[in-house]
Amino acid sequence: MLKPLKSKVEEKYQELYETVGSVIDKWGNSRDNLIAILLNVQSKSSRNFVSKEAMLVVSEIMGISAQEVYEVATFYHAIATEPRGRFLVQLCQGTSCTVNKAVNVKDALEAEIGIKIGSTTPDGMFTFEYTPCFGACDVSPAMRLNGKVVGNLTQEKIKQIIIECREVAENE
Amino acid sequence: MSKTVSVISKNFYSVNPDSIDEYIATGGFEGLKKAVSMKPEKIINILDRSDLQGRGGAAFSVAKKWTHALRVPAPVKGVMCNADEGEPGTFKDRALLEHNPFGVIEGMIIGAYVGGGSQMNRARIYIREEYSYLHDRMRNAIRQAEERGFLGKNILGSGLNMEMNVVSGAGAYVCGESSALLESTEGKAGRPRIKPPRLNNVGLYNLPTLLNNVESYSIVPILVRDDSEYRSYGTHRSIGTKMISVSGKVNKPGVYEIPFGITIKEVVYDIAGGLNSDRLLKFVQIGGASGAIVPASQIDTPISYEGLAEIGVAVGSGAIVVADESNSMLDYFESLAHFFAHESCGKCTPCREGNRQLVRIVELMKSGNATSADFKRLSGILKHMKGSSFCGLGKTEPAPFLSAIKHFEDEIKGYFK
Ligand code: SF4
Ligand code: FES
Repeated sequence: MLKPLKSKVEEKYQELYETVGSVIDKWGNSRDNLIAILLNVQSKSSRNFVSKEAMLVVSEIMGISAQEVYEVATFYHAIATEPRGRFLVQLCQGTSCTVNKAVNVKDALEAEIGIKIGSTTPDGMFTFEYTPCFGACDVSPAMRLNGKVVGNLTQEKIKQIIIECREVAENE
Repeated sequence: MSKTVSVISKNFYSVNPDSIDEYIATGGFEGLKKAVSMKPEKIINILDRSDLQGRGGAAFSVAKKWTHALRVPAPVKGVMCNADEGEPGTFKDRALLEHNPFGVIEGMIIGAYVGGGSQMNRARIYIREEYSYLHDRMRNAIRQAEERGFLGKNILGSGLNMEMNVVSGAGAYVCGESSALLESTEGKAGRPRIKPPRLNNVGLYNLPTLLNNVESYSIVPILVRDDSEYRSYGTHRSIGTKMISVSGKVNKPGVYEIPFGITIKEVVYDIAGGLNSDRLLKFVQIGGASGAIVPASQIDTPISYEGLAEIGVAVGSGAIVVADESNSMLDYFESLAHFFAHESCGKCTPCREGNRQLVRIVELMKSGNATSADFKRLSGILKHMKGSSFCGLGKTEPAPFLSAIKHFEDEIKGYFK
């Protein structure tokens, strides 16, 4: 890993520097790996996002201006620059899911998680948002839970899934 | 009798997609072996004979594209596979990557043989983030192909050199647009480039680049090996088969391979098992989010380039979303408007602002406060987007809205006071 001499960023965010550095080492320090690196850095954050500090570190190690890193990070929907919940619940708003009444699923999820779509629970446990079609239309209505597809959603299934999430969190 | 066929999908569920040996045992890489013994022009002739058209949606002649690639002189070239399908309702490339990864790779290598340079050609498969569970499958397939000498230096003694990588998208529909796809592959924000220069001259890393869709590449090895079966299907103006994805209110949603020329009705009722409700079919949307809305009265139309063109519809990505009488046009508009507003890259005004206004008008319709002046605005915005957007996203987006207004005029006007 290439480090600038006497880096202020490294001094300030030592731990982050290590983590991000190892991600960059894994992918290789080249511009075309920037998106993969940001996704990977995000997956290591407990709140599912890439912080400003992390972007600074990426910028310094990769030698890409901070503005450019920020531009890329904010352009792509799969990369978040604000903290998200421990569980990211993304309900599809695509056409297939719409005709199969994703709106009922939305109501059920709001009731179960206890927040309106588009927000995060105060305890940081869940973020619930709409997402465009992710190609699971054959099992619509569908959602992604931390990136994993869950399809053929029913009220019963939703209840079960949210209970399981809470159990997982409790055992952590 | 089953109305589906299996030429491109021949390996589905019968060949282990993680094993190159199984792929080879069923004739895999025979197409490539034959290809490297032929002159590139001969291969292009085969594609031309089947009139293969780009299967991502644009339907541009593959033979023409490859001829161009062959003619551009350069020692190193780019070879790209667009696996970023993001049209709502479309998931046929997912099935091809999942069940026939080696077929995609083989098609790309033949592409490089025909249109590549003499030195280390750079091949990239750009797969959307939403399919991240398939990235490793593709990487594994590439590794096995390298081990067998189908990738790397001097492939099968042909003098062709090629290295191949998987690149992940990060959730941006516009990256399916070819120049945006390249920007993204290079690690930048995926905004479409100004053209010219065209990508076949200045593409990936400024190299001349051959870019095709997953399905187009998958068909190539089959045609090169022996195109007789493929050519026995279809109509005389739409030769062969098409991978389609059917979803919505049907009993058996899924990915199917159909011969060109069967009707929408046959797909909905005979292949996808009919409607999953006791309501009547209301409309289908063909070709993805930017595809046209086809009312129930037109479902006897054959699915072929010429058949659909007669009712002003394009084959597009091959998606068919089915809606019944319980689905309102308003809900459908809402889904479309939000999708495009979310996905517009913001580079040009007609699309960026047009989408913002579309969402507002749909919201007014929902709240019952839309007026006839809003209807006029809606029509005006759609016209401008179609005529003056910078890239295909904004240009094609009006199609479903305009066709819906045409076929469901009363219902839609009913949402405006
Ligand atoms: S039409 Fe314009 S704003 Fe819309 S995606 Fe294309 S370039 Fe971006
Ligand atoms: S429309 Fe919801 S997953 Fe495709």
